[in-house]
Amino acid sequence: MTTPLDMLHQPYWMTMGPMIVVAATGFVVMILEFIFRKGDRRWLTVLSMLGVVAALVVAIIHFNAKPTFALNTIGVDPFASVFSVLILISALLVLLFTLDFSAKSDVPAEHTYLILFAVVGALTMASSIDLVTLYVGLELLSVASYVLVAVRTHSIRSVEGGIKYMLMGALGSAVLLYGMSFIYGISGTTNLMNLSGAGLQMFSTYPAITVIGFLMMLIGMGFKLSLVPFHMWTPDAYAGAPTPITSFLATLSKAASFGMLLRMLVFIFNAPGAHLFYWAGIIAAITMIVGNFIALPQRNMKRLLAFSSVAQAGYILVPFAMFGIAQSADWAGLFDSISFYLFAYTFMTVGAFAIVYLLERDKGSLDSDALIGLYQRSPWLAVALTIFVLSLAGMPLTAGFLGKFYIFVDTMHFSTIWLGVILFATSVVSFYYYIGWLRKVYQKEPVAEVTALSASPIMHTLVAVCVIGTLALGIVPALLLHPLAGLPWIYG
Amino acid sequence: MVQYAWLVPFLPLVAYVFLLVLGRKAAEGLVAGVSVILTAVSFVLSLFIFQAVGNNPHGNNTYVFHWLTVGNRVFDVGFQVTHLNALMLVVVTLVSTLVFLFSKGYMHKDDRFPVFYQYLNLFVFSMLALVISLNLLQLYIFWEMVGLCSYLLVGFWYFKPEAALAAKKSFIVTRIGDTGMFAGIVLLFLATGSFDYSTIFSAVAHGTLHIGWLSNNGVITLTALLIFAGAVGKSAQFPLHVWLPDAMEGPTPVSALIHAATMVAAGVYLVARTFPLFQASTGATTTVAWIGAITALMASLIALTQRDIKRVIAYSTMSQLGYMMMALGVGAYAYGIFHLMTHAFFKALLFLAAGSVIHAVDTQDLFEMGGLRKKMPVTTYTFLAGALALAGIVPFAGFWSKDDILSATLQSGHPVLYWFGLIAAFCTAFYIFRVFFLTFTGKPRVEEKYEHAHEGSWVMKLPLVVLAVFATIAGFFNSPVNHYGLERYLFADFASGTAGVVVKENVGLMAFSVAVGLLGILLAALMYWRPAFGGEKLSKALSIPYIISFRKFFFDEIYTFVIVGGGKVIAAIVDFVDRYIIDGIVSLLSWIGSVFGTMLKYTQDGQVQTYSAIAAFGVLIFIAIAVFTVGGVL
Repeated sequence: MTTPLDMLHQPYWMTMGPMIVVAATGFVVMILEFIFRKGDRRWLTVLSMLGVVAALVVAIIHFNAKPTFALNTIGVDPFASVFSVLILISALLVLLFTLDFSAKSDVPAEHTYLILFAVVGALTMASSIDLVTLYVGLELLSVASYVLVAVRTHSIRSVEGGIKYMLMGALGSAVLLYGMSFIYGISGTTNLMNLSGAGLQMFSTYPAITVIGFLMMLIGMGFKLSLVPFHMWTPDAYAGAPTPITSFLATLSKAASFGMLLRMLVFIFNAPGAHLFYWAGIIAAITMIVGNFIALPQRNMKRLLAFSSVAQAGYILVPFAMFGIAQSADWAGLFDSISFYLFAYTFMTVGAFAIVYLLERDKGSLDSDALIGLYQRSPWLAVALTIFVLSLAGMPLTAGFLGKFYIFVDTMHFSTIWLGVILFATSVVSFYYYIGWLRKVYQKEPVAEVTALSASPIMHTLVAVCVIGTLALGIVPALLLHPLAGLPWIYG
Repeated sequence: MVQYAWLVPFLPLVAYVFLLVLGRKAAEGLVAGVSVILTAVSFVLSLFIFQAVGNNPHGNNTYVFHWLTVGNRVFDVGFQVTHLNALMLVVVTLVSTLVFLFSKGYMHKDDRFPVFYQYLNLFVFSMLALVISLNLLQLYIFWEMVGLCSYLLVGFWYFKPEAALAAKKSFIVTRIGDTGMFAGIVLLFLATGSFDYSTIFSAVAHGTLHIGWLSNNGVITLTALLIFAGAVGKSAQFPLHVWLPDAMEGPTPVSALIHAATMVAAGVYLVARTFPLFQASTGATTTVAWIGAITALMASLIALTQRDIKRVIAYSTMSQLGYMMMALGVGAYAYGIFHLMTHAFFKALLFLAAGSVIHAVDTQDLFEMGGLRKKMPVTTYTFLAGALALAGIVPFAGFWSKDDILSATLQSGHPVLYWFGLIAAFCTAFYIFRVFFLTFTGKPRVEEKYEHAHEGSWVMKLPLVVLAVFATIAGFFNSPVNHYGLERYLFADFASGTAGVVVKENVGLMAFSVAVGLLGILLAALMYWRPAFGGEKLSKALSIPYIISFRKFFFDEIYTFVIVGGGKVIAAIVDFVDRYIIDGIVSLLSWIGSVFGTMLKYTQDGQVQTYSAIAAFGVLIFIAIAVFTVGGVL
């Protein structure tokens, strides 16, 4: 007789458990939405969160599972586990965020299950080892995201952001797919496992085609990751989207895209790296420089965070450049740097957006002057925002600092110090605009009567979770590095 | 038991967080109650730990947790309970508990009563954490936190300009030493690749410390002296002693806890903790001994003439810390620590008793007091116990420890240092009884202040009585009565079972130093109690030495002229460079930044056509360059 616990060890559970749970929840929510009255729909969000928690449990149970793949395309390995957990945690934060949001505004309730389907796409991107399924996952995520950005149909900004995002996203998909087709053309396979052996041969036979394939895949993902110069949709989409969705774009969508990019590049081009991965470094450098400088004159808080997230993507791309230089024995350290930064980035970014959201609702404006007097209005939220912003800037004792620190150490270790210097120098630039926020936060409000900034318990919980995440990873990085250490990233 | 040692600092931290949450409006009783109870629990725990460590002298009481990994270097945090650490835990928690209780009465009705307790708790946490730190890095972190708390507490009455200035002065002067200490720690790290005491000591033992052109001995002497610089700053030793008397602007319980019993002893503790490092360098130990001796003598000379009751005791603290340093310098490890312990008790007692007096008469000027014995019997007799202990009269605590130090100095072959110590001992007996006679005996000098004087409530009396008991009996912890138990306890930290000099009993020396102490008391009595000849006349007759002493050897004036003046000249130069050159470059950079940013902003014109054109252009450029560099097609 099979117990439910045994079922968990069935191959399809092993390989696709989280996806099955989230997708099933999505369908249930979709159907229930017709039944539930408008006022009760927040329970659907709660249900969605329960689904994500269940998926998280499944993912954690299989965290250290032996690499297993269903149909040779989708499955579980350390890579999939780490990124699935990251995606599900950020999904949980985003859903908590929307729980407050859907209670307060008149957005159509579709966004709940759209997020769930996007999460399914993201999980697919994290756990596929075939270019075709990877691409399908990406499109599932992207299409859901386009709709989510434009979900406030009555708001012209929202629709505009959605359209721009979709057009640029389509361009990105086209480039990506074109790049993939080159690789398929010279290797005759789309399976990463088969490709991983063929990299060196491909490069020595068709160097130009290989480099085109590599670059087009990098650039195609670069559209989704808003790397410069493919980032220009970012501020419009971020500012137009409802803020919880913005946090979704900035964290979950980016984490999944980084996961997919990492897997594709490392699996396919693992041998002739030096000539190819260099390009990741160049794009990272451009992204860090442009992202940070263009953020300087921004007054709109969401646009500023959008450019800041462009810059952050640049930081995360830096370790990608080392894959060409590092021996594969040292790769685990690079994977750790990337995943650590993504975890850190998730907490601090969602937290910052949460507070921007509260101010936006309170003042009806996204101008950074809305920050003035925040410390008087709510000392706790002001301190929380200070922590997020300092973490984004990279102050010690926060997760953001250690994230940058590990990446910096990587650049020194693999003698790519020029990237480390750019990382450091542009971080200094970023202090300028981040500290500009803090100055306003602690400035006194000119109004005589100070009204407290109201926030629901849900938002307080969200902010508290993000504060704890940011500080915990900043002070005790072993919390995350310990489970990461010793994962067999490279196997087979 | 020892594995729970982390609880000892943790409980005051809990109290701190709790008080922080309660806020500034919390009731005094609750605030003080929570603090006293949690610290008292820490004290009881410390006693058990003290015993557990003693019962198992060869146990490995080190608890390590990995904190950070950078490259292949692992940084650990954790705690370690050596015999020395266990003793320090007991002393610190005991004095803290009593001071917390005393403060309930002393700070009654202060507007920021809860804040005062927050700072105190934070201080006690930092001090205890410093004591059980696993390595030098961790010690340095708490060392600075202790300094910060001291700053906050000295400047607690920040609305008094003297207090704000004193806080600043204490922070800056100790920072000078800390900078050296930090450099020393970094050098040790460079030489051994570790901050751990054990790794460093074994490298010292094997003689494998060398950096670049510095030899093993060079590194040892240099790092020992640099670390000693931190100790000099913290323990107010010559020449970084100027902050301690000014720090008396803080509330008196703070003086008792921080500037007498615990924090200032951290410097002595540091030297004791790194004793093997110092032992390996004759240059370093000689320096330590001489600095200690000079401080002991100089401070006791200054204390002779001060008019402010707290300043006399402050100089006395400096002088006594000098004794401890001298002891460590001549290798009398156990006796330095022993004196640290007895001193903590009797000096906290003297300060709290002085606090009780100040609380009663609302002045610190000795010449506005007098005759308080009738109004404040408890304070009088407890102060007397403290004074006798300080003067080193049999059988009070100070006698045993001070006498051990003096004997050890002589027996280890440092006769000059011995005489320094002996003269200082004479002065000590004189100045503390000068204070005693001026304050408690004779006729009241200012009537209305005397009228209002009264003993404080039980929360103020109880700590005095408890400390008086310790000031009387603590000396027996290391005496023939218990076969020198404390020194055997402390020696257990060392693999050889002993460290430095071990004193041989010498009744002659003991009698001599007691006689010197009695002579000092006698002189004080003749001048201030039953005036055979007036202090005034004597000070006129010896006007030049009197002025030198009263003006504290002109250290403040010299420092103001040389260091502050020199600093101002350098500052003017730096100001020019900063204002016109650095600022110019920075403004230029920020101008370039903002122009670049604004230019980039204009590319962001909101037109999706522009976006895709730029993106497509980007794709083409990248691919063109990449293909060109690989060179497969063209």
